[in-house]
Amino acid sequence: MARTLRVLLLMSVATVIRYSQGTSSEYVSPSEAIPRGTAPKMQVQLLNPGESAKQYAVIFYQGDEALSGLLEFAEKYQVKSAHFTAIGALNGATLGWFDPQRKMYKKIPVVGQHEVVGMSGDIALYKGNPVVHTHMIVGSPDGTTLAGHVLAAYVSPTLEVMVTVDPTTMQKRFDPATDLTLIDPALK
Amino acid sequence: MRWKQIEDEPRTFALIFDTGDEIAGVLQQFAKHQGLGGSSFKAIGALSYAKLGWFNLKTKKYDPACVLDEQVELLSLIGDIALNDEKPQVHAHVVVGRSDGTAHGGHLLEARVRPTCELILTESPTHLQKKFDPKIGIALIQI
Repeated sequence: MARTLRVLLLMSVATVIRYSQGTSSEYVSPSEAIPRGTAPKMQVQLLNPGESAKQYAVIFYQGDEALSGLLEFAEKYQVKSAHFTAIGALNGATLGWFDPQRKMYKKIPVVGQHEVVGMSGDIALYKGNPVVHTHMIVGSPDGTTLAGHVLAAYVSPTLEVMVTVDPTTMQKRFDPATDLTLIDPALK
Repeated sequence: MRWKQIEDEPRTFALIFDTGDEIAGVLQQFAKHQGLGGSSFKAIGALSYAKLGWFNLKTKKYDPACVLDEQVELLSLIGDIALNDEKPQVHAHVVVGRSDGTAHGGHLLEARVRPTCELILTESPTHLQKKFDPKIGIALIQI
Protein backbone atom coordinates (compact mmCIF):
# COMPACT_ATOMS: atom_id res chain seq x y z
CA MET A 1 0.00 0.00 0.00
CA ALA A 2 2.73 2.45 1.04
CA ARG A 3 4.70 1.48 -2.04
CA THR A 4 1.71 2.11 -4.31
CA LEU A 5 1.16 5.51 -2.71
CA ARG A 6 4.81 6.38 -3.19
CA VAL A 7 4.66 5.44 -6.88
CA LEU A 8 1.48 7.48 -7.34
CA LEU A 9 3.07 10.45 -5.61
CA LEU A 10 6.18 10.19 -7.81
CA MET A 11 4.01 9.98 -10.92
CA SER A 12 2.02 13.05 -10.01
CA VAL A 13 5.19 14.99 -9.20
CA ALA A 14 6.61 13.95 -12.58
CA THR A 15 3.40 15.10 -14.28
CA VAL A 16 3.54 18.46 -12.55
CA ILE A 17 7.19 18.93 -13.57
CA ARG A 18 6.34 18.06 -17.16
CA TYR A 19 3.36 20.40 -17.17
CA SER A 20 5.22 23.30 -15.62
CA GLN A 21 7.87 23.08 -18.31
CA GLY A 22 5.17 23.29 -20.97
CA THR A 23 6.44 20.15 -22.63
CA SER A 24 3.35 18.62 -24.12
CA SER A 25 3.40 20.35 -27.50
CA GLU A 26 6.74 22.04 -27.98
CA TYR A 27 9.22 19.78 -26.22
CA VAL A 28 10.01 16.08 -26.18
CA SER A 29 11.92 14.28 -23.45
CA PRO A 30 14.92 12.23 -24.64
CA SER A 31 13.44 9.25 -22.80
CA GLU A 32 10.16 9.38 -24.73
CA ALA A 33 9.33 5.84 -25.89
CA ILE A 34 9.40 5.10 -29.62
CA PRO A 35 6.34 3.20 -30.87
CA ARG A 36 6.50 -0.04 -32.87
CA GLY A 37 4.52 -1.14 -35.88
CA THR A 38 4.46 2.22 -37.64
CA ALA A 39 6.60 1.13 -40.62
CA PRO A 40 4.57 -1.81 -42.00
CA LYS A 41 6.02 -1.62 -45.52
CA MET A 42 9.70 -1.65 -44.46
CA GLN A 43 11.85 -4.26 -46.22
CA VAL A 44 15.35 -5.46 -45.38
CA GLN A 45 18.01 -7.08 -47.57
CA LEU A 46 21.34 -8.46 -46.36
CA LEU A 47 23.88 -7.05 -48.83
CA ASN A 48 27.07 -8.48 -47.37
CA PRO A 49 27.07 -11.44 -44.98
CA GLY A 50 30.77 -10.84 -44.15
CA GLU A 51 31.43 -11.23 -40.43
CA SER A 52 33.68 -8.16 -40.24
CA ALA A 53 31.30 -5.72 -41.93
CA LYS A 54 27.77 -6.96 -42.46
CA GLN A 55 25.76 -4.60 -44.69
CA TYR A 56 22.00 -4.21 -45.02
CA ALA A 57 19.70 -2.16 -47.22
CA VAL A 58 16.65 -1.09 -45.20
CA ILE A 59 14.05 0.33 -47.57
CA PHE A 60 10.96 2.26 -46.45
CA TYR A 61 7.87 3.04 -48.51
CA GLN A 62 4.92 5.46 -48.54
CA GLY A 63 3.57 6.13 -45.05
CA ASP A 64 6.26 4.27 -43.07
CA GLU A 65 7.62 6.04 -39.98
CA ALA A 66 11.37 5.68 -40.35
CA LEU A 67 12.70 6.03 -36.78
CA SER A 68 10.47 3.34 -35.31
CA GLY A 69 11.17 1.21 -38.40
CA LEU A 70 14.93 1.42 -37.85
CA LEU A 71 14.49 0.46 -34.21
CA GLU A 72 12.37 -2.55 -35.21
CA PHE A 73 15.02 -3.50 -37.79
CA ALA A 74 17.74 -3.37 -35.09
CA GLU A 75 15.67 -5.50 -32.71
CA LYS A 76 14.63 -8.08 -35.31
CA TYR A 77 18.12 -8.51 -36.83
CA GLN A 78 19.87 -8.27 -33.45
CA VAL A 79 21.99 -5.32 -34.55
CA LYS A 80 24.05 -4.20 -31.56
CA SER A 81 26.18 -1.53 -33.21
CA ALA A 82 26.03 0.02 -36.65
CA HIS A 83 26.27 3.23 -38.63
CA PHE A 84 24.18 4.27 -41.61
CA THR A 85 23.48 6.92 -44.23
CA ALA A 86 20.22 7.45 -46.08
CA ILE A 87 18.50 9.49 -48.78
CA GLY A 88 14.88 9.66 -49.88
CA ALA A 89 11.88 11.86 -49.34
CA LEU A 90 9.18 12.40 -46.74
CA ASN A 91 5.82 14.01 -46.19
CA GLY A 92 5.85 15.40 -42.67
CA ALA A 93 8.40 14.95 -39.92
CA THR A 94 9.21 16.08 -36.41
CA LEU A 95 12.83 17.04 -35.96
CA GLY A 96 14.37 18.08 -32.67
CA TRP A 97 16.86 20.58 -31.31
CA PHE A 98 18.35 19.63 -27.97
CA ASP A 99 17.90 22.32 -25.35
CA PRO A 100 20.62 21.69 -22.73
CA GLN A 101 18.84 23.88 -20.15
CA ARG A 102 15.56 21.98 -20.33
CA LYS A 103 17.25 18.65 -21.17
CA MET A 104 14.60 18.15 -23.84
CA TYR A 105 14.25 18.25 -27.59
CA LYS A 106 12.47 21.33 -28.92
CA LYS A 107 10.21 20.14 -31.72
CA ILE A 108 10.87 21.41 -35.25
CA PRO A 109 7.84 20.56 -37.37
CA VAL A 110 8.41 19.71 -41.04
CA VAL A 111 5.16 20.11 -42.97
CA GLY A 112 4.59 18.69 -46.45
CA GLN A 113 6.74 16.97 -49.06
CA HIS A 114 10.53 17.34 -48.56
CA GLU A 115 13.61 15.62 -49.94
CA VAL A 116 15.70 13.84 -47.30
CA VAL A 117 18.92 15.36 -48.60
CA GLY A 118 21.14 13.86 -45.94
CA MET A 119 20.54 11.46 -43.08
CA SER A 120 23.18 9.78 -40.98
CA GLY A 121 23.13 7.98 -37.70
CA ASP A 122 24.25 5.12 -35.52
CA ILE A 123 22.95 2.24 -33.45
CA ALA A 124 24.40 1.32 -30.06
CA LEU A 125 23.27 -0.69 -27.03
CA TYR A 126 21.78 0.70 -23.84
CA LYS A 127 21.15 -1.91 -21.12
CA GLY A 128 21.09 -4.63 -23.76
CA ASN A 129 18.62 -2.88 -26.07
CA PRO A 130 19.49 -1.14 -29.36
CA VAL A 131 19.12 2.65 -29.51
CA VAL A 132 18.88 4.46 -32.86
CA HIS A 133 20.36 7.97 -33.02
CA THR A 134 19.91 9.82 -36.29
CA HIS A 135 20.01 13.32 -37.70
CA MET A 136 18.67 14.58 -41.01
CA ILE A 137 18.66 17.55 -43.34
CA VAL A 138 15.53 18.04 -45.44
CA GLY A 139 15.10 20.11 -48.60
CA SER A 140 12.04 22.26 -49.40
CA PRO A 141 10.65 22.79 -52.92
CA ASP A 142 12.89 25.87 -53.25
CA GLY A 143 16.01 24.03 -52.05
CA THR A 144 16.16 25.71 -48.64
CA THR A 145 16.77 23.35 -45.73
CA LEU A 146 15.72 22.39 -42.23
CA ALA A 147 17.69 20.01 -40.07
CA GLY A 148 17.71 18.31 -36.71
CA HIS A 149 17.58 15.21 -34.54
CA VAL A 150 14.96 12.80 -35.93
CA LEU A 151 11.94 12.29 -33.65
CA ALA A 152 9.60 11.02 -36.41
CA ALA A 153 9.76 10.97 -40.23
CA TYR A 154 6.90 9.89 -42.49
CA VAL A 155 8.34 8.45 -45.70
CA SER A 156 6.97 9.50 -49.12
CA PRO A 157 7.58 7.72 -51.48
CA THR A 158 10.77 5.98 -50.35
CA LEU A 159 13.75 6.15 -47.99
CA GLU A 160 16.89 4.10 -48.74
CA VAL A 161 18.98 3.39 -45.63
CA MET A 162 22.37 1.71 -46.10
CA VAL A 163 23.47 0.12 -42.83
CA THR A 164 26.96 -1.15 -41.96
CA VAL A 165 27.07 -3.32 -38.84
CA ASP A 166 30.13 -2.73 -36.69
CA PRO A 167 31.92 -5.87 -35.44
CA THR A 168 32.55 -4.38 -31.98
CA THR A 169 29.57 -3.41 -29.84
CA MET A 170 29.25 0.19 -28.67
CA GLN A 171 27.56 0.68 -25.29
CA LYS A 172 25.63 3.69 -24.09
CA ARG A 173 25.29 4.97 -20.55
CA PHE A 174 22.81 7.40 -19.02
CA ASP A 175 24.26 10.88 -18.62
CA PRO A 176 22.49 12.68 -15.73
CA ALA A 177 23.86 16.06 -16.85
CA THR A 178 21.80 15.91 -20.06
CA ASP A 179 19.30 13.07 -19.44
CA LEU A 180 20.62 11.51 -22.68
CA THR A 181 22.12 8.08 -23.24
CA LEU A 182 25.61 8.68 -24.58
CA ILE A 183 28.07 6.24 -26.17
CA ASP A 184 30.83 5.39 -23.71
CA PRO A 185 33.78 3.64 -25.42
CA ALA A 186 35.10 2.53 -22.01
CA LEU A 187 31.93 0.50 -21.27
CA LYS A 188 32.32 -3.18 -22.11
CA MET B 1 38.22 12.14 -62.15
CA ARG B 2 40.85 9.77 -60.75
CA TRP B 3 40.02 6.69 -58.71
CA LYS B 4 41.69 3.98 -56.69
CA GLN B 5 40.42 0.78 -55.08
CA ILE B 6 41.28 1.16 -51.39
CA GLU B 7 39.85 -2.07 -49.97
CA ASP B 8 39.04 -5.54 -51.34
CA GLU B 9 36.42 -6.79 -48.86
CA PRO B 10 34.02 -5.09 -49.20
CA ARG B 11 35.22 -3.56 -52.52
CA THR B 12 35.75 0.12 -51.72
CA PHE B 13 36.83 2.91 -54.06
CA ALA B 14 38.06 6.47 -53.57
CA LEU B 15 37.00 8.75 -56.43
CA ILE B 16 38.71 12.13 -56.63
CA PHE B 17 37.03 14.68 -58.87
CA ASP B 18 38.86 17.72 -60.31
CA THR B 19 37.80 21.23 -61.28
CA GLY B 20 35.24 21.09 -64.06
CA ASP B 21 34.10 17.47 -63.48
CA GLU B 22 30.33 17.00 -63.39
CA ILE B 23 29.60 14.54 -60.56
CA ALA B 24 26.28 12.94 -61.64
CA GLY B 25 27.44 12.05 -65.15
CA VAL B 26 30.91 10.82 -64.13
CA LEU B 27 29.44 8.68 -61.34
CA GLN B 28 26.89 7.10 -63.67
CA GLN B 29 29.70 6.17 -66.13
CA PHE B 30 31.90 4.78 -63.35
CA ALA B 31 29.03 2.61 -62.08
CA LYS B 32 28.47 1.22 -65.59
CA HIS B 33 32.21 0.49 -66.15
CA GLN B 34 32.63 -1.24 -62.78
CA GLY B 35 29.27 -3.03 -62.95
CA LEU B 36 28.18 -1.67 -59.57
CA GLY B 37 24.74 -2.97 -58.62
CA GLY B 38 24.45 -2.57 -54.87
CA SER B 39 26.58 0.27 -53.59
CA SER B 40 26.50 3.29 -51.36
CA PHE B 41 28.70 6.35 -51.23
CA LYS B 42 29.33 9.65 -49.53
CA ALA B 43 31.39 12.67 -50.44
CA ILE B 44 32.47 16.18 -49.50
CA GLY B 45 34.14 18.90 -51.55
CA ALA B 46 33.27 22.17 -53.25
CA LEU B 47 31.36 23.20 -56.37
CA SER B 48 31.20 26.09 -58.80
CA TYR B 49 27.66 25.17 -59.93
CA ALA B 50 24.83 23.03 -58.52
CA LYS B 51 21.37 22.19 -59.83
CA LEU B 52 19.14 20.56 -57.22
CA GLY B 53 15.79 18.81 -57.67
CA TRP B 54 12.69 18.33 -55.55
CA PHE B 55 10.41 15.37 -56.33
CA ASN B 56 6.91 16.49 -57.18
CA LEU B 57 4.51 13.64 -56.32
CA LYS B 58 1.72 15.26 -58.33
CA THR B 59 3.59 15.58 -61.64
CA LYS B 60 5.83 12.55 -60.83
CA LYS B 61 8.86 14.54 -61.95
CA TYR B 62 11.79 16.34 -60.34
CA ASP B 63 11.13 20.06 -60.21
CA PRO B 64 14.30 22.18 -60.31
CA ALA B 65 14.45 23.30 -56.65
CA CYS B 66 17.31 25.73 -57.15
CA VAL B 67 20.27 26.52 -59.35
CA LEU B 68 23.32 27.89 -57.59
CA ASP B 69 25.73 29.37 -60.13
CA GLU B 70 28.33 30.29 -57.51
CA GLN B 71 31.07 28.76 -55.39
CA VAL B 72 29.52 26.54 -52.68
CA GLU B 73 30.85 23.98 -50.21
CA LEU B 74 29.64 20.45 -50.89
CA LEU B 75 28.69 19.70 -47.27
CA SER B 76 27.18 16.30 -47.85
CA LEU B 77 26.63 14.03 -50.81
CA ILE B 78 24.98 10.72 -49.96
CA GLY B 79 23.80 8.17 -52.45
CA ASP B 80 23.31 4.62 -53.60
CA ILE B 81 23.41 2.54 -56.77
CA ALA B 82 20.86 -0.14 -57.69
CA LEU B 83 20.04 -1.98 -60.93
CA ASN B 84 17.13 -0.76 -63.03
CA ASP B 85 16.55 -3.02 -66.06
CA GLU B 86 20.04 -4.52 -65.55
CA LYS B 87 21.62 -1.06 -65.72
CA PRO B 88 23.17 0.67 -62.69
CA GLN B 89 21.20 3.70 -61.60
CA VAL B 90 22.83 6.31 -59.39
CA HIS B 91 20.61 8.07 -56.81
CA ALA B 92 22.23 10.92 -54.89
CA HIS B 93 21.22 13.85 -52.69
CA VAL B 94 23.35 16.86 -51.84
CA VAL B 95 23.56 19.60 -49.25
CA VAL B 96 25.59 22.67 -50.20
CA GLY B 97 26.64 25.67 -48.13
CA ARG B 98 26.70 29.20 -49.53
CA SER B 99 29.23 31.89 -48.59
CA ASP B 100 27.00 33.08 -45.72
CA GLY B 101 26.72 29.54 -44.28
CA THR B 102 23.09 28.92 -45.22
CA ALA B 103 22.40 25.49 -46.64
CA HIS B 104 20.51 24.32 -49.71
CA GLY B 105 19.72 20.74 -50.50
CA GLY B 106 18.00 18.47 -52.98
CA HIS B 107 18.18 15.58 -55.40
CA LEU B 108 21.45 15.76 -57.39
CA LEU B 109 20.69 16.87 -60.95
CA GLU B 110 24.00 18.52 -61.82
CA ALA B 111 27.10 19.48 -59.82
CA ARG B 112 30.27 20.98 -61.24
CA VAL B 113 33.37 20.52 -59.07
CA ARG B 114 35.80 23.30 -58.08
CA PRO B 115 38.42 22.52 -56.83
CA THR B 116 37.88 18.98 -55.55
CA CYS B 117 35.36 16.37 -54.50
CA GLU B 118 36.37 13.33 -52.45
CA LEU B 119 33.98 10.40 -52.73
CA ILE B 120 34.19 7.02 -50.97
CA LEU B 121 32.10 4.25 -52.49
CA THR B 122 31.50 0.80 -50.96
CA GLU B 123 30.16 -2.03 -53.07
CA SER B 124 28.26 -4.98 -51.69
CA PRO B 125 28.33 -8.47 -53.22
CA THR B 126 24.52 -8.60 -53.41
CA HIS B 127 22.92 -6.35 -55.99
CA LEU B 128 19.83 -4.25 -55.37
CA GLN B 129 17.05 -4.18 -57.94
CA LYS B 130 14.79 -1.26 -58.78
CA LYS B 131 11.33 -1.62 -60.24
CA PHE B 132 9.19 1.05 -61.86
CA ASP B 133 6.31 2.02 -59.58
CA PRO B 134 3.49 3.40 -61.80
CA LYS B 135 1.79 5.01 -58.79
CA ILE B 136 4.89 7.03 -57.88
CA GLY B 137 6.25 7.52 -61.40
CA ILE B 138 9.85 6.45 -60.66
CA ALA B 139 11.72 3.19 -60.07
CA LEU B 140 12.03 2.24 -56.38
CA ILE B 141 14.32 -0.38 -54.81
CA GLN B 142 12.35 -3.61 -54.40
CA ILE B 143 13.43 -6.46 -52.14
